[in-house]
Amino acid sequence: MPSLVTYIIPGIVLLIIMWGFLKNIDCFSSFLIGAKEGMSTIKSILPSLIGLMVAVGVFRASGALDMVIGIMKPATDFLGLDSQVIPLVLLRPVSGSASLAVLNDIIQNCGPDSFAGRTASVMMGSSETILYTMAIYLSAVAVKKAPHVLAAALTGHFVSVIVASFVCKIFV
Amino acid sequence: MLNIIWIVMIVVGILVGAINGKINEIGTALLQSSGSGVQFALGIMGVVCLWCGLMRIAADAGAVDSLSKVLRPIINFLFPETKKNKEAEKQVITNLAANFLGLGNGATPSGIKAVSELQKSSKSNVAVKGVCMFLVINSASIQLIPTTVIALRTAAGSTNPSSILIPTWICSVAGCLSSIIIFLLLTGISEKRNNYAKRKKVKQ
Repeated sequence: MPSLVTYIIPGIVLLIIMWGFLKNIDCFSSFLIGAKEGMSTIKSILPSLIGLMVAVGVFRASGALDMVIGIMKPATDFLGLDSQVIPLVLLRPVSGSASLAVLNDIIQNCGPDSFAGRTASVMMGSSETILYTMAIYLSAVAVKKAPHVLAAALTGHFVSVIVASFVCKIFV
Repeated sequence: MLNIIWIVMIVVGILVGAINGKINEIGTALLQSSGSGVQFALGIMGVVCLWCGLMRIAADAGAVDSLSKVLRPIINFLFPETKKNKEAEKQVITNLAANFLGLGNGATPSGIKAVSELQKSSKSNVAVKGVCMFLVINSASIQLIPTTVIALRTAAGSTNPSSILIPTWICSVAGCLSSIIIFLLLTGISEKRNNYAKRKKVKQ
């Protein structure tokens, strides 16, 4: 008997398509429009991804990444984190493409179902690239300062790192 | 900032690698990682397009409107100005609902409109509390399905890519709540300080 979680995605797909059908939507046409948008999103992040994957790849191949991890290991062991996720913790608030590159690197190195792989996946999906978001919205209204936003957002990010680690330990 | 990080990673990487005697690996990494970028994009493209397509169906069927009804009381609580400013309310809700459904790019226009509406009551170049709250909520990504992550895991051969679904929900809610609480605390403290300073001035 497959676990409940595996029903979620097929369930949502079924729900959406039935809903669209009942609302007399041309589901396939809508699907095509959305899928094209998805493709253009990927196309637009591709150059950035290539740049960052090269940076992360070089950083890892040189041994510099392991040095950074080694320095921070005592702190992360104390907090119950897998030290392999440190690069993601540091880069997640800074850049979306860097986070993807680091997540990919962690998953390639540790495996998608390892503790590090799952924690990194959870961390990736539960916070946002705060610096980028702030830059876009604040520049759109010509505002320079946003009091307390960075402190609050980084706290949230830190909390989600700890919770991710904790939850991945329980939900094996 | 990204510029500095990128430069540092590559320069430090090459220098450290040369010192460590790993210049061979550096050369390979330079060439192979660029290929990894393309492989990665191709690997996730299928799932991403599938999901964007499905979400478009949901959006066309009125998913954003239905979500809005649920979100309205919460938004009115967090953004008191939306009780009077209905346009701001509409844009904030559209942005958060779109982000929730994973319509990332579709959320940005309404986000920009939301911030404009919320900020228009002030002429200074400091963001008003509403705009700050909006940024704080946007920094915690509460998504129904974290598509990119699941796509990545599928492409990497995970035995159960969607097993991270519930942990991610728990984690994003925890992050969002904690950042809202800290924001309200910090804002409350600085408001009390400002009021105290004003009263001191008046007394003098």
